[in-house]
Amino acid sequence: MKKLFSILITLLLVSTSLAQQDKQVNVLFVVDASSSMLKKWGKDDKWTIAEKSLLKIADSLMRENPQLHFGLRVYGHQSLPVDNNCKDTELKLAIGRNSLSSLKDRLISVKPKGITPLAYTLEQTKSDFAGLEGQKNILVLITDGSESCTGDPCAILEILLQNQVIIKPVVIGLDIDIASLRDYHCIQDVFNPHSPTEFERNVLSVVHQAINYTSLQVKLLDYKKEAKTTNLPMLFYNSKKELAYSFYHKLNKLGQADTILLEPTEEYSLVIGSLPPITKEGIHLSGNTHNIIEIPAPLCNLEIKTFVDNEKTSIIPEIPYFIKQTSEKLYFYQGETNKEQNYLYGSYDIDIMTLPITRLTKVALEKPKKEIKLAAPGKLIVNAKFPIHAALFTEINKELVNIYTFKANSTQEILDLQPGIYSLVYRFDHKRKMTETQINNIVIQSKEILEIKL
Amino acid sequence: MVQSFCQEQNEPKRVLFVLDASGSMVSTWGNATKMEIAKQTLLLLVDSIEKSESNIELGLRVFGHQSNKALNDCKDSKLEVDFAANNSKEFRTALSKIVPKGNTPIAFSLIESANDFDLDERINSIILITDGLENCEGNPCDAAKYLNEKRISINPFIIGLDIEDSLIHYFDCIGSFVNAKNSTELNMVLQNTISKATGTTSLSIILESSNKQNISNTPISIIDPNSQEILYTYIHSLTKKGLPDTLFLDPRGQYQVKVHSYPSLLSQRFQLKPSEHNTLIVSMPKSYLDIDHKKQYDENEASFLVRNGEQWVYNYKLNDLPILAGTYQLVTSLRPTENLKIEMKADKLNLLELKANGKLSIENKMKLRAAVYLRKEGIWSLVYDLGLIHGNFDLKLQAGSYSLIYIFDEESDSEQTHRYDFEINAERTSVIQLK
Repeated sequence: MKKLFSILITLLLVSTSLAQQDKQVNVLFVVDASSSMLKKWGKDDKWTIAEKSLLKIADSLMRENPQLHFGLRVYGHQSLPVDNNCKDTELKLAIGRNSLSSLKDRLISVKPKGITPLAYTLEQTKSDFAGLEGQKNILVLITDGSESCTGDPCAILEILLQNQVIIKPVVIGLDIDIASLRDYHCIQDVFNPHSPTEFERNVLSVVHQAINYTSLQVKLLDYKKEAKTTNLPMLFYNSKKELAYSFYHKLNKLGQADTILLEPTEEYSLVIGSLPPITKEGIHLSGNTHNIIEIPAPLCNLEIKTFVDNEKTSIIPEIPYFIKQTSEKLYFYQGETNKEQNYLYGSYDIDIMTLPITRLTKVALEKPKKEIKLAAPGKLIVNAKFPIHAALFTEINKELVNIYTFKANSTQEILDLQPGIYSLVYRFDHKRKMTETQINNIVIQSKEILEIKL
Repeated sequence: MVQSFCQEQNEPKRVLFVLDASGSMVSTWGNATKMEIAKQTLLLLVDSIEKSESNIELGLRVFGHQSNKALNDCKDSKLEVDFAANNSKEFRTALSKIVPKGNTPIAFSLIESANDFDLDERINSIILITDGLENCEGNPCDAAKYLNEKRISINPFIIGLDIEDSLIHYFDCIGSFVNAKNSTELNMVLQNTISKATGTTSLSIILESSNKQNISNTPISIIDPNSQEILYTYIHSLTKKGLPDTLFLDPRGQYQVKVHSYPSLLSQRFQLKPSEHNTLIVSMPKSYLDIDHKKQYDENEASFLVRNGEQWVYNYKLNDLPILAGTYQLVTSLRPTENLKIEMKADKLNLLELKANGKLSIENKMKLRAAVYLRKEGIWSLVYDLGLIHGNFDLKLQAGSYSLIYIFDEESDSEQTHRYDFEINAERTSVIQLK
């Protein structure tokens, strides 16, 4: 879990449109200038750190993207806390082709003073982006505390999200106490530097990543071809076959496949951690657009049930089984009885490690839920007065098969056996005539113990 | 469902062994004296006839065991065991007392033996076991002729104990002669002779490993090749001398032997030669698998699936697995699930060393979804799909580099996925605290 830290929070609101490519990037910096920003953090106060970092970020972004447009909004700088001014927010620099020096000038003019009317401020940003709809609009929020007024910053964000203005807000926090963090529960990416040093070291790359990433929705289709399959790991490998990202597939609050952000420059291959895994090679993501991949992944929840409720037996209820696809030779997974496990729809061979092995071939998993009942084993205890050589036979596919060979010169064997008819063929070691072989036909019943004395 | 029984013989038959206990029988033959070997072999045969309930009565006449050579006793011959069914005990007692000493009065012994049989219509036979020629005045050829003329027995069967080739022709006039060069041959020759003498048909099944050793204690069945019906099932055995045991069978019809090894082995179909001792050699390239568990693995905990194509699948649980040489697929219940290809070489102990397990102990108070991946050469493979878990849990894993991928269940944001890389070392516990 990413740990949550301190003063500065960067909130990135990425606006996307499916239609356009190479959109204009517009960044609005929203900076907290409430009185708490005057607190010392390391050598400097928080405001000074925020100011310096902001200039560095702007400088770096402009170097990378000369077409970058940006603006600046500040709040809490006009009225003292006693005034409790819940509308203390101001667009200092309208979004446009601004210079670094103008940004610097505007920042110098600001002196932290008042409270944090965050929700109101966010609401105002809508008008800051007016006329820029459909472009890549990014909002960078730098703050050190929580809402001071009655507004709910998250409710405002939800509206922006639902209007497809925001794809992925990112939080970079500094020294925010846990109670205040609740205000940002809806903000999904939280950058939490530990110290001013860590903040300065990483803040640039965090912002860069957030701006450059492209968004992707992986729709895992269930048996009805609806994108309802979820909760599976997703591994993205880059073109060098290195793991680039690992995610759990999730459905967002709207019940849709959650959007993830990836570096668009790579060609990826995606491995869905289903059983068996699904590999999708050659995924090209277009930058600045929202990408959607659909992968059929109908899951069947399989449970092999062994009923063991009889206390007089000490039978282990979890019996391992090995599973492979009918078409394959290699087993890809092992499960246990009495435990649910999801598998992709398909035809499987399952070998349950009972004695004898319970072979289930061509098991069709083609419904969301499948239950296979396995008779509980019984127990056979063989006690021999003298060492024996023995084997246990049973009929499988109309053929008598030796299913278990006793240890040489054994005097006791305890076996969990599936219910059925068996023949115990044995000869005492000291009896050297084959014709002294003896045969005991036995019936094993589920959950019953059968003791045989030889 | 499985049966084993023996063929019944109705007509009682009598066989008299005439055993040489002259001084020369003390000579060494292999790793024992001729006398010792003859005694052992005879006893085994008597035992096996008794247990076969084949209705054969045996008797024993010995010569050369009462007087020292110096006495030149040419009448040193005595019926030591009288005919009876199930008299192996008497044989044992009598044979144990015999010390080879004196002369070789073969002719005298044969003539004396006429009185050993009751004069009735039964089939009588004499099997002479000797290591030398007559050294008294008698004429064995005349003695044999006498027995035949008196309708006491047909010409005796003679078993030579490594008699020099140049002397063999002396026995031609007595009866049919077979020379045994060593103790193994003696056993076979004796088996064969008794079959001929009594008109029974017997079979020895030799399970031969690749290095020509006799294998025993493996379950076998004798089946009817036409119906594939199992006629008898036995646990194969070797006598104390390491020789295959003898079965008495009905010579009519064909047989096939099925060895219940893994996988099972079917001999060619065969027809028994009637009134003879038959030998079937089944080549069984036996191999041994030993899985080294490094002690940390409780045998009840591990399961091993052994596969050989589609023919058979075996649940190896640390027992004496008479597996045949070949290539097998082995899947273990260790994590990660591995499909091992094992090459089982004949007559070799094929050791499969399993790495020791380590343990992953996760301390957790939350409800989360998690999966464990093995990282090997840049490739991630899913080892455990843990699904939804709540609370602490432990996992056993083979040593290696792993990652735990997890997300708290209430999360709806994929980017809240966490990854925790960890190492598992053999016999060590790695603890992860999820907070």
